[in-house]
Amino acid sequence: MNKLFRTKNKIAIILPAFNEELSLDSLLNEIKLHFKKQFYIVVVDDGSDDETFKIASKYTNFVLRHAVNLGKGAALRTGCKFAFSILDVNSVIMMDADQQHAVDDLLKFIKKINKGYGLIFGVRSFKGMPRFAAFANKVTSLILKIIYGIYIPDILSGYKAISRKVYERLNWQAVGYEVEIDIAKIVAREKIPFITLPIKTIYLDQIKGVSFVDAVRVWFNLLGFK
Amino acid sequence: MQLEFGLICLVLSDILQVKIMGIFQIISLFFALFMAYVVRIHYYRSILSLLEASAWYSLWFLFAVLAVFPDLLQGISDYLHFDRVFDFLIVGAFMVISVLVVRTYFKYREIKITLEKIIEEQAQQDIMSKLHKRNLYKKTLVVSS
Repeated sequence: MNKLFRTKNKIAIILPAFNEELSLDSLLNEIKLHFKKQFYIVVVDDGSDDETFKIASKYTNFVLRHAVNLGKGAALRTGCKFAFSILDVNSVIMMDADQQHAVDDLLKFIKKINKGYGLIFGVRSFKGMPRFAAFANKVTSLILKIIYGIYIPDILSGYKAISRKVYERLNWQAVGYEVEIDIAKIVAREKIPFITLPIKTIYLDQIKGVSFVDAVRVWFNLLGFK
Repeated sequence: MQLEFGLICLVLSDILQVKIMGIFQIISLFFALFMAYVVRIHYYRSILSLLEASAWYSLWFLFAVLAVFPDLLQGISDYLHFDRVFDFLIVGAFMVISVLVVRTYFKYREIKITLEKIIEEQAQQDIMSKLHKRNLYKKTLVVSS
């Protein structure tokens, strides 16, 4: 594993977290256990009113805090800005803090980053996904394909890696969950090259996933309405 | 028999219509007075300046006058080819509401973007001062350079 880190790539993991005290502790522990000090861990506490900030501070010095909850998109923006401008990393890996992204998959991302890929989308298998989430995902990809002519599977998965060059082109404006759509739209519009990476499908909390209202909002966003 | 029933209905509906209009006017009048009271409160809390408060008072005064004497608008209504003053008022009110909604939406977007910027910048500043305090900033830069 160590060979992978003998590269010039400096990587940060961005973890946007809102009231994730139950999952953050074990997630950060697992990351530390598997990867020791191979990369920076940046946690963005997005205005949590639980112990998220305190727990994150136990594991990393890089815990940013939003005074109020803004949304996933804003948290990712804050984290990326910090990682690229202050930590001066070459790439970031965006990961959800609710343990629905497997820590083992980080290794796959790192391998691809080291091979020089600038944008890597983690793609889950639809097999283990709740029916509605799978449906929403397929429809979203289909709408993107119809409008922009590019097919990106599993757009709603937040597990992705972005290099500095790609980050400078992305510049997303969405503050909430629509960030995934915003990124996909920019990628399609700007024709930014990307690759997909199969990742594990984990659904721990069925309620927490994409609801019908979220899906409709995402589709409207895809069509240009905010 | 049917004719008598029809006549009674006609008379009743006529009476009812007059009553509804009357009630509607009274409600409008009270609404205008209440809004003038709201303006007064905001003026005393220094949220509105004297000029702003005067403008709002004038608006609600005009509203009250038009609610009591809607026929004052008959001339304009006829000039604009509206069948009834009420139609003219509805169209006018819809236009005012549309302008207010659009203006509020733009203002909301502006405030939202400003708020996001402030919160994000504050988060960056907080962590920088934390890193400086713990002397971690230098360490971080050394590690990353």
